[in-house]
Amino acid sequence: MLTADKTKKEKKSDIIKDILIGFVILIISVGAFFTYNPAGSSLDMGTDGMNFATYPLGVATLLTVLGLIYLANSFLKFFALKENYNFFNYFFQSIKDNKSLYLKRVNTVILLIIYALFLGEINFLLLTSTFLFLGFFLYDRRDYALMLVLSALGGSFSYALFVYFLKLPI
Amino acid sequence: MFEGLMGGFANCFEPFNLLLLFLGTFLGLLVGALPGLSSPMAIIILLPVTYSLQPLPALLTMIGVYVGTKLGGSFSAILLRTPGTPAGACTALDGFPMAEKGQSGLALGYATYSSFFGGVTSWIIAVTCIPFISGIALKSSNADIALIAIMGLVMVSAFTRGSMLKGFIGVCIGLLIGSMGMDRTDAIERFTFGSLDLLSGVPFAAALVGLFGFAVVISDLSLMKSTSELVTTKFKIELPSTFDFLKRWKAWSIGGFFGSIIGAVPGVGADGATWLSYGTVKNNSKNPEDFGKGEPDGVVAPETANNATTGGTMVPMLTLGIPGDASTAIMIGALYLHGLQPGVTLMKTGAEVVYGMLAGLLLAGVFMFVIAMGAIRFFVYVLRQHRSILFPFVMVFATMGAFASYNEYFPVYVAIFLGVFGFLMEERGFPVVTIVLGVILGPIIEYNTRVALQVANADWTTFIDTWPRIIMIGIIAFLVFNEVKQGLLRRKLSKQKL
Amino acid sequence: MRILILGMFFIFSTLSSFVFAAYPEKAIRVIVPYKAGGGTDSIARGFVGAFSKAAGVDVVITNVNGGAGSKGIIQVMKSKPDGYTLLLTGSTDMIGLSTFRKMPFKAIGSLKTVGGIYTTPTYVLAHKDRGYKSLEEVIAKSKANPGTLIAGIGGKFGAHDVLANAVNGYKNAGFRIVAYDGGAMLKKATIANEVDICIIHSPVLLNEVKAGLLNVIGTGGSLAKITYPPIQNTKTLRDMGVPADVGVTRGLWAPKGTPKEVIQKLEKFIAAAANSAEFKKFGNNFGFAPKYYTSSQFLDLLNLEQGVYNDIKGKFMSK
Repeated sequence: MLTADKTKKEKKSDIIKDILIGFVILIISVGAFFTYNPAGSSLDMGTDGMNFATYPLGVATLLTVLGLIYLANSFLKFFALKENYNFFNYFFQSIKDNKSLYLKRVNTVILLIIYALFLGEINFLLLTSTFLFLGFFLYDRRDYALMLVLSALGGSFSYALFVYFLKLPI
Repeated sequence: MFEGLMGGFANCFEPFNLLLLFLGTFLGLLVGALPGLSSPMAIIILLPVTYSLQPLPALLTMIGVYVGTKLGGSFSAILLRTPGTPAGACTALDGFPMAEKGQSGLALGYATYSSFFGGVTSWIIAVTCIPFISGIALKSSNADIALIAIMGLVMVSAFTRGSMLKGFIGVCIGLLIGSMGMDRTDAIERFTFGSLDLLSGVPFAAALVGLFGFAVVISDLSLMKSTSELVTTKFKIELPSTFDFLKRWKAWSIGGFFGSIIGAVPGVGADGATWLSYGTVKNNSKNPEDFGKGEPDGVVAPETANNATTGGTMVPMLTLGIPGDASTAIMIGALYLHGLQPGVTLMKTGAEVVYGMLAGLLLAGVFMFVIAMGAIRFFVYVLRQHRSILFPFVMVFATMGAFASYNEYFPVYVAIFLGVFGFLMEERGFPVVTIVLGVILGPIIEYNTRVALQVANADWTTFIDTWPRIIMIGIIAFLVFNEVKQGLLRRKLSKQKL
Repeated sequence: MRILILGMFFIFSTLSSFVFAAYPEKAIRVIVPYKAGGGTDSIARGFVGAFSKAAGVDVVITNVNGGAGSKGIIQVMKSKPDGYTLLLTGSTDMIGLSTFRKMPFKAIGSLKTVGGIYTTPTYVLAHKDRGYKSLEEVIAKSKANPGTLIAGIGGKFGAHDVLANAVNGYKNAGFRIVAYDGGAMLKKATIANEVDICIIHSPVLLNEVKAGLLNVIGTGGSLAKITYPPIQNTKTLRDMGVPADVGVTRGLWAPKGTPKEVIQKLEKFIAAAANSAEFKKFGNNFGFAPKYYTSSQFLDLLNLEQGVYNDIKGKFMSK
């Protein structure tokens, strides 16, 4: 589950993910130093002794330090484990073992993006009903009659709520 | 005051007014329970509908919606882990694990009792101490607000289990996300990458929907085939009794206290009060390790605080014309539209409406309790359906919730991005709630600290200028010491286990 | 050839008159580029009832509040120019955005003005406990101790900021300008007596002025139409030697290319609505009698205000 504690011993395959996340954290924190002033505004200090960059760069500095500690910790754990490990073998094996789950996750995101792209372009009732139907299908439902009924009802309810009642400009 | 209030109740008991209050509360509960939807949205829709009504019935309808959404938002937080409000995000920490253990009825029941109790407590404090509550709203300066928000942030380790380092990293990421867009003091853009869409920052509703809603869907796809306790054939909904609730007196009294007092502080009220009460209850609990795993006190404390802020936000709105949150800001606009003038004179020039609204606030709490207790079984039944049916619906509502934050499409993409990001972080043990905490409290801390220093001409002693501030600094120092101590103790214990 | 062109022009204008003769046939959407509950939103909601009656169709408000108010403006710019999507915002809010930030629009020229409905100058208030009776008095005190007196404004790069900088610049006043995040925060700070002077759009805080809690000590434009006679003759900035008129006029815009016939009809509806008893009642309750500007008068006003902004920005706010 999302919030379960990890009590089992970590393997190299878990720690490599920590290392990757560590790099992501550092990209975010170091990247902040290059993207904090997109309009090239002046860095003059205000009457409070700070400017607009003080706080976010302070946070970015702290995040960089924490990120480095996290990354260093992860590397130490990785090299401390005496385990044969090949990243690519593990990666492909993992995809093979969990193909269905990974596909569902990736397709969920793709479906959401497509839904967002067509919002406002296609009739909301039709789009939402189609989205619901495809969602049920993606999650392995094959009781088509029920799927159709739920999609139609869900689409109609959503239309009534969001377009008619809440008057959202979709 | 007493006569005015009795007159207010008499007006509320007129059948038409009572009906509107009931309908408003019912609507609020329903709207709040839908993931991503919020009180301001429902109130805005009602504005044109209420134009033809007299001021009091119009405002009673809005108060009903306001009170109803406070609890309704917790329903989606508990059953789907997709809160509509920051306060609901706190309830999800223990509410959702309770639901997963098959205790959804208990969680919703505790939430309902707590909300009712919190609402009643704050109402009593509000009507008996109007000058005191107004005084808190008026006298709480930017320095005070900054310190309250810092106290909330320091309690971050209350929400981290296992690794404090990951908790702090999550908070820092949240603080950076919260600083995107124009800074509130100099109005200079940061991290916008030249995009106009990001000029107002990351839309908060989109962040909430993404980090909680979409991330949960993506994560829980791994459970699609297994039967969870939520979906068993023989299903019995257990509701807490009044005695069960009363036994948890520490949680509801702390929640009630924080909500009633801090709720009056504009700009930090509901958000700050819920997190502070959760953190305080956890830190003072005999079994703090149970929090985050389905501990009922983890629902009782924030829910009591959440509804206890209603009195605190209404009083400054009615006596000073100062809104405490987005919903009361809209209600101020509604007062103008109905021919009233919010501000220091409203209690004299619009006394009938003011006392009517105060009376309506209490009655709305009663209606909320009755409707919610009756509706729990319905909600649990609807939401215990298989994930393959629920998740597509959750995604539709969450998408629309993100869209409705700006009536624009950009927040939807933000929500999707944060959903993927939140999922990846949670998979590696970074509690997403810490990111949300940073997003909520970061802008409050930065803005109020800077304005406090500008007013004080960069003199940092402004933060120890008054006794309340000195006390708050002391509490912060104590909390930091306590968190470090607890963190080291946890580390020692986990090493011993291995 | 000339006759052919004239003939085509005649046919086209007749056709378009015919096509738009039925306007409006469906609900008109008015986009307000701010969150619900603010000043512009309240005025818009107070106006649409009368607008709807005059137009004979529903008028629906949509809040599109991203991009610091720019997203709503851009949405209207990109809408079909058929008269069914309009923008309602403040004149100086538009000007402030395009003057101080890089925007894909200009306050003048990117949209078609339809009319102005509600003018309110920016005024200067002080808590009664401060004892100030006039802005000149405060300026003199501030000059004697530059950087010690605080002028609270409701946000950077808006009308409040322009007025504060105009006073500081032309009068060398030396106020310390503290920008609060919006009118509500500034209101609270003013009532709590945390600032020496408060610069805010009238008629915000008028109730507090009527109650004697706050004093009006100066104004960026005439207060002759404010619904509180004792302050109607308040000295303006120009009276004090500051060549600036600062305020905000809420008005309506349509996308460029909206047919003339539609604009003419809209002008009629808006004039009727702005002069209606219903809107006058709302305006008086809000604190100011409404004032109607035709499309060209509104455009002239925008040009005037843009001139002031360019002047103040160029002289005192160019950093």
